[in-house]
Amino acid sequence: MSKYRKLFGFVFAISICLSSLTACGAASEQEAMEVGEGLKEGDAAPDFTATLVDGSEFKMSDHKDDVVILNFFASWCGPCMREMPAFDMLKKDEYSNLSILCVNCEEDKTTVDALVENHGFTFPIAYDEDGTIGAKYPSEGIPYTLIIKNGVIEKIFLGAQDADTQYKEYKGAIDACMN
Amino acid sequence: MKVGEHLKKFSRRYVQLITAVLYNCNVKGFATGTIWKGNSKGVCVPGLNCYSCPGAIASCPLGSLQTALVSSRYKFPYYIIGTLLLMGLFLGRFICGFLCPFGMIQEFLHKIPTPKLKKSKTTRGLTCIKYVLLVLFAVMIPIFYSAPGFCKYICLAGTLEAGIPLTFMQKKLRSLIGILFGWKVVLLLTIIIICIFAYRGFCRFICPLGAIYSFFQPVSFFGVQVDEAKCIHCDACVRNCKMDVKKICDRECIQCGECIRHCPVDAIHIGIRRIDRKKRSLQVIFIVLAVILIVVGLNSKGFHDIKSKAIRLCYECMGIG
Repeated sequence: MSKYRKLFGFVFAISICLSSLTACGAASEQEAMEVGEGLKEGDAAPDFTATLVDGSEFKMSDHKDDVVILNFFASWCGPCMREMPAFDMLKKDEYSNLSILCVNCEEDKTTVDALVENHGFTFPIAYDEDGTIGAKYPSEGIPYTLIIKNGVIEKIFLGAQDADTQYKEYKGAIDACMN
Repeated sequence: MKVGEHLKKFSRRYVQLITAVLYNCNVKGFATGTIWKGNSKGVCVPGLNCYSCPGAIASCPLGSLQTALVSSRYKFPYYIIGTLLLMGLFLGRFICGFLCPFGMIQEFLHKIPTPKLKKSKTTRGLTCIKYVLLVLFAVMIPIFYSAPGFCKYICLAGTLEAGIPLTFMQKKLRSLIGILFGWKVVLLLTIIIICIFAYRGFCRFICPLGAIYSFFQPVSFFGVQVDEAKCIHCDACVRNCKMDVKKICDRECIQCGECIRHCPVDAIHIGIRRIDRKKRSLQVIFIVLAVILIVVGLNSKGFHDIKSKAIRLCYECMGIG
């Protein structure tokens, strides 16, 4: 009999929790992120205006004739930081109509400024303190990199390995867009 | 057994169960492969619970500490250190005994009928491993190698709660699986086997969060306490304890209260502890320090920082980074 009581107790406790928490979950459905809710290859790249570390501005719609490599990163993200030299390598390749933009995810300006100074990055890096740009390009995680040609997303990369591997991957995708 | 007696006997199990459900109450996330993106992710739960788990509605303190240390060269992690200080100060390893879902899972694993590893001087010695892992993997690797070392290479919570379910549910994440994921799955299986034979093997030998909370055992507000006036020093409490304790409420005691049942003179109690004046002064100092750290952390967007990390999948925690 005590075994039944024990079982009943567990089932009762789980039921109470699940019913109250399902209600809680349902109330904030919009806050959860659906699988595949983000952008897909072939979608139009959402427009945004970003302020860069050097003080200039980057407007996506101004780059409709370019190939744009758009990356989302943060200082706390190990894979992001490991792949960053790939963007320096791409910059050194001096493509005539390639725009590189790395958007920092929701860290404050002082952190981003210190990071850029510390690593000596020379490619364009944008602030996104309130996550406005990130919200237009939702993804499950970072690093998240998109290759955009004529305002259309051609290729999406999720995650990253080392800088050399990523350089080859990105260069391949950029070359395919240029041809 | 009457309902009242039953509740008293199994109260810890109910607390563990309710805690596990509360930590992971984004039920829809489990069904659809979603992660919670609400503001509650800016708060840390006391126990080990991966924030990349589809159900998790708050952050893991150990994961948050490591990611904060990764970027500590740019911003000191006031908020998370203050939070850990406050939780440790109030509850100590009571968190391990009552508020950690992985403690509960390990206790269930240990119920599988097999020969059990008895505690000994060797197992007591092995408990020091978690302090080494704390220093090397949870502090040094994040600071000097910019990676959440424990989450990335060891943590079973990330593999079990996030890595396995999300790579199973999301095709695009499967392409990121590599050697690291294989290592973490093998390690997870090994730890599961250890936990079948050794009571709370992960807590005793591996968990750096337990190691952090163990520092607060002498001064924590809440916990188990022995009434020295009643105690007859029969050692029944220590002999019957499955953890590697030398005395009640030492660094290995998870404050589970199991010893209360074995005390022949009812000298052990669980609740607000009475401590001497010297320790009381330490408590006050720690509280003031914790509050200062949390306030400074909040002013420097510490809450926002923890949230912005936890609303994104941690590929490294999942073993695919």
